[in-house]
Amino acid sequence: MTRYTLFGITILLGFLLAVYYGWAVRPVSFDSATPAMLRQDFQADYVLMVAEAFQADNNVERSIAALAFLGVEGQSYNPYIFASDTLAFGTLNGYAVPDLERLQILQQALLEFDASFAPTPTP
Amino acid sequence: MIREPQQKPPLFLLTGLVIGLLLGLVVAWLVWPLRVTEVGPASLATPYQEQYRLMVELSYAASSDLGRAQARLALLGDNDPVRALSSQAQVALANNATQREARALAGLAEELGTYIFNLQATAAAVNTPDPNEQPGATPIEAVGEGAAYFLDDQELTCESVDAPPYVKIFVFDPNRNPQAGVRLTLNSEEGEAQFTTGQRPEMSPGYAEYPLTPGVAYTLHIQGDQMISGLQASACETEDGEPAWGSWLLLFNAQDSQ
Repeated sequence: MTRYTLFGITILLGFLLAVYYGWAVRPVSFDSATPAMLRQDFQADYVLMVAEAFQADNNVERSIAALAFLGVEGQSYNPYIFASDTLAFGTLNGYAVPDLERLQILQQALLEFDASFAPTPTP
Repeated sequence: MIREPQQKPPLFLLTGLVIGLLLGLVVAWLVWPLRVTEVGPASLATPYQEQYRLMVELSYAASSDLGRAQARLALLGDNDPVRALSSQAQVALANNATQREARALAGLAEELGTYIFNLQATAAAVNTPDPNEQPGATPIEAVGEGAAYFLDDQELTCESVDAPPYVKIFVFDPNRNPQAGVRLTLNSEEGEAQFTTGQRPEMSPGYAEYPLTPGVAYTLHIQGDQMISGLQASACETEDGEPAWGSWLLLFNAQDSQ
């Protein structure tokens, strides 16, 4: 085995070790996650909190602003989708009936506020 | 004299390893960092955690469900959730545009602080025995006259400071053999608890135990016959002189039918 081959093998070994360390042992920015990275149940619970707050103040614009929290930075978001996804998640995962009702009320209010929030049917 | 050529350490291998490590770190952290998904609220960046905390508060203001608010705040992993709420409230208070949020955050901080204080005070009152207040070692009066069993012996055992109070029951047949499957019932203001001997055969087939809540009086029935009333958790002192909850050790024998 020539010196150059050995040299190449050690570079590869170092590279693999460092990638393992950088991805598995100490991945970057683990404590600076964005809300879009939240697990689905945490995202759903956040939407439920928005629905609870909406129940008290009936302020749709404030709810829309609060739902922006779950959007991806620099991209547009549809608050209605967040509400309807959470309603579906809650129905599947046994949310209490009053919570599902809150989500339904929020979903309806969002649609009444801006009908364009309604998802367009795919052809 | 012929000198043998000196063996040079393979420094090029070390150089290669260092180059590889540097390249790997650049790729793993800068060029192609791992996309972390499915995280919990505790992993959110600080501004997002603040927004999450505010949303917890606003939903609490609507629902008044302190338990749910507390559970949600716990997801943020704050060492002191009350302090985190108070700090955020102070920051919000300094800004004219966020006065409503500041008041709301401070309100939840106060409610939560009171709740936690009361919880700790109650836990301390219940879990800290005071032998002076509860001498406890009052002998238990058996009331099961004419019953199929009689109280043969009783003892308050004081094992350790951390051990919760128990009633530990041994039941024997007329021949002094442990008797399994004997139905025991404890009645108290908390309700009725039914259990049988033999559920911990490693102790004895005739053994059964049940945890006692301090301050609650129990009535014990064996096979439906009332045997003891006024059974309570009693304070005692360990061998080291530390106050602790003692466990009542009760021995019952079946009446000789002959």
